[in-house]
Amino acid sequence: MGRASGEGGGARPTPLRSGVWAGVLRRLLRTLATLLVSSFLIFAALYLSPGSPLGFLTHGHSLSPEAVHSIEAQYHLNKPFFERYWLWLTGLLQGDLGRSTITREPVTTLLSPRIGVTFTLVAMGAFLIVVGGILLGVLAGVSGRRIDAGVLAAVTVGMAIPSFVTATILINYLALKLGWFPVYGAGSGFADRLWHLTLPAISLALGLIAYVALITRAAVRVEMGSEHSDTARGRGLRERLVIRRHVVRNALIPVVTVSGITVASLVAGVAVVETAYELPGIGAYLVQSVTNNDFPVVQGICLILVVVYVVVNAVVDVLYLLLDPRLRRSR
Amino acid sequence: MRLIAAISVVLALAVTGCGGGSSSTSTSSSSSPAASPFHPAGVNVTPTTPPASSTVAQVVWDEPYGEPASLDPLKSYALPENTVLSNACDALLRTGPDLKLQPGLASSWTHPTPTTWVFKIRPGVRFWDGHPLTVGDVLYSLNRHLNPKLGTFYTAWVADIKSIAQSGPSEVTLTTKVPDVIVAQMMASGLGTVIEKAYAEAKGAAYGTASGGIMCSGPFQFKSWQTGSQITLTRNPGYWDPSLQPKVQTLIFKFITDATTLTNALAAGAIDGTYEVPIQGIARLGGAGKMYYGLSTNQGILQPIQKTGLSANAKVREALSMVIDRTGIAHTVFQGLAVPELAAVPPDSFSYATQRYQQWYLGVGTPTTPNVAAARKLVEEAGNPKSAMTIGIQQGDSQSAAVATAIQSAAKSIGLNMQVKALPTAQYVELIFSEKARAGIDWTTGNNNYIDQAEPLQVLYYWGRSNSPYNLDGFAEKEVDSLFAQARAQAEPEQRAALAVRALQLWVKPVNNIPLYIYPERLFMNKRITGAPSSFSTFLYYPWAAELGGT
Repeated sequence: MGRASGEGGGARPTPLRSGVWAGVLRRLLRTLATLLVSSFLIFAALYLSPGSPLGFLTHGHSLSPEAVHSIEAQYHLNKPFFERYWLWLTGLLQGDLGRSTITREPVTTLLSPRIGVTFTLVAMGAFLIVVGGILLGVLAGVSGRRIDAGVLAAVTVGMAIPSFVTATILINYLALKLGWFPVYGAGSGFADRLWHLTLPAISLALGLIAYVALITRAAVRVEMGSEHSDTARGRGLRERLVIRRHVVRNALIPVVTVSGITVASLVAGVAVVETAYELPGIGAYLVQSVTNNDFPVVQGICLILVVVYVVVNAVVDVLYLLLDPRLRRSR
Repeated sequence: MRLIAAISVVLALAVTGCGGGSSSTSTSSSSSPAASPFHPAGVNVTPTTPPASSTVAQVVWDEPYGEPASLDPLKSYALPENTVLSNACDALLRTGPDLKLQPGLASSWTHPTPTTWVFKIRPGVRFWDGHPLTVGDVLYSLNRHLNPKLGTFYTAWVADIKSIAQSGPSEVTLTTKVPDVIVAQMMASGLGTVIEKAYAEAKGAAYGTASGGIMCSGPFQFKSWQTGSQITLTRNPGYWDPSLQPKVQTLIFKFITDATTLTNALAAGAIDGTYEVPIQGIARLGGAGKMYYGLSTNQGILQPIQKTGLSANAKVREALSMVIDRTGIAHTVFQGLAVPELAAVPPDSFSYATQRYQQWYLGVGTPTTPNVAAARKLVEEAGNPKSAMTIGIQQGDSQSAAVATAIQSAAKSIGLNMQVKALPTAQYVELIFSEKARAGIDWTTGNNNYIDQAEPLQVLYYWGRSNSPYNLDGFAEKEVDSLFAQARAQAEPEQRAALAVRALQLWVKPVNNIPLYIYPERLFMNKRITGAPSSFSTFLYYPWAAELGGT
């Protein structure tokens, strides 16, 4: 619907606002549809997975038929598939994720403290990734060959090391040998929690810092050689100013997008780090609950992960729309 | 049999703390005991540890098999649950550090007729909330197991109980369906654990959950349970037993299952102690505290779980049992902290008529090193079968994976085709009661085929008698059933042992459960603390943390 509007002069046209809102609405609907479809997929996948939660529940002991029956009734295990999905979905809309088959506690009660741990970890990881990645990328991009090669090498090594290996190395040296950080757990209280989550956040971020740094470096390189930078230099601007105003600012547009998507993917990648540091977060709990066939918990966590992923992506999309005027013209 | 649902992480974090090369990690103290058929050389097995001499504000303990699922005694039939529950709730009896039964809430007990057991309930005991513990609470707690709707995990044992009723002002009588001495021994377990009736009725289905909590009379009272993170108990200042007054103010249980993380936490002092210490970490713990080794009714076996197929073939079983390198497994997988098992009955369970049982055990004649020639001959007699067999192990249990691999190569050496399959925890624990889960799996091995009490008859109770739900290969021998029935009725220890040995011999001779290894319990306490008893099943059925305190 938008028509081309020139950069300078002329009437500032309406498409800016209406284009953004239409885009937001479209994305919102798409987001809701995605959530509904994924809720169905999550439910169906667990329905089809082998084994029943009963086995884990009893640690391999036999149960009386009456007890089995009452558990099946409690968790609707004996109802047909669509009825179970419907019960789950309607409960969901009322904020009820069901009860864990293992601990018999409401899933929401089980998840809320864990969500806090995971989100703090993700926030710290995201901070490291965005700040570290952009700084390193810019440094490599604007520096001479030697520094560039050094950063590139360091970043590539960081990318190549899996996060559980980083975790082992960090724990062994910084926590065990030097005693600067705790060896496991999430701590309690704000400062203690940050202290506990520092090593996990580094393990989580290291590989992805590399990713953001590489993208930034490439974008900076392109902008360094671009016409408008050369023009700015030609006008006698100091190199530092050229970099800040013309190179970094323009390079940031792709970097913001990439950072957003990277951070969204952190939520999913958090399980390995949480397991390595024995953190009570939703990632490690997901792994544990899958092993135990604790369906209601798995469903709840998957849904949260999907929601976070979809919402972050939608926000990034909208941000991008606001940042880059060119995008508003399409579609 | 307990298939422990160690909530082991499926992500195979292939990180081992030590190099794994050295195997001389077992020496623990000044004297180096010589090798015996029952305990490894160089390991000093002591059921108790130096007594605590001071009070301690806080002790953080680990649960290497993960977080309990419930603290309701109905549902506590595994290590994580009972490690906590044994300190919070009293049972009628206790399993002492020497693995012998002791009085608990029952100050004494008698066996007036072959089918009745009378327990005198101790007067003056109070729950944490100050309410007196009455016979009513005892009857309520024990009878919950008999209500099929409540779904006790002790189903197999409950099947033998006729009634539990009051027989005097402070007296409870347990009546069994057949003359029996071994059910009464289970009064030192979840089956005999007493909870407060009023509290449990008020909480209903929430009793024993993190939010519902528990109400008992034990030396440590329940304070909080943050799921995924920790269970906190605090000292019960009004505990009735003067000899077990707790010296620890706050006792915290953590749920670290990963061996490397646990070792790190112990080495750094973030965790003060644990039972079932991961073997690969022991070498790194020397500076932080001390290892102790206790008695254990645990064992490693290779259990046939099919009624048909190659694993049901007597010659195949015998051949396999002949070529498994038990000494090799004890040395490599357990780094010398295990010894070959010579019959599928853990010898530390020989708590009475010890000599008679030991003599039998040593005479079974299971080889400790492979005898390939004789085994090959048996395979030939079985017709050189070519079809494959499968061992099912629990995913993430690296120890059992190593054992299964050793068995696989032993089978290969005599031309048998053995596969190893790692099963998801949910399927692994289902092997016992689901034929569907067992499909395609011929054998299973894990390191937690323990018996609850130091009573060798429990082995026959679980695996030898024909009508046991745990007897999966359909072993049915009239003579064994009859001898077992006579033995369990026999209250006189020597005579019971004589009958038991005859039954056990008939059960082990056409090889059934293939014995693999036995090992003493591994306990670690750091420099700050001491006192916990070190035996396996004592830390499940005895208020062990009441002995903990400062060095």
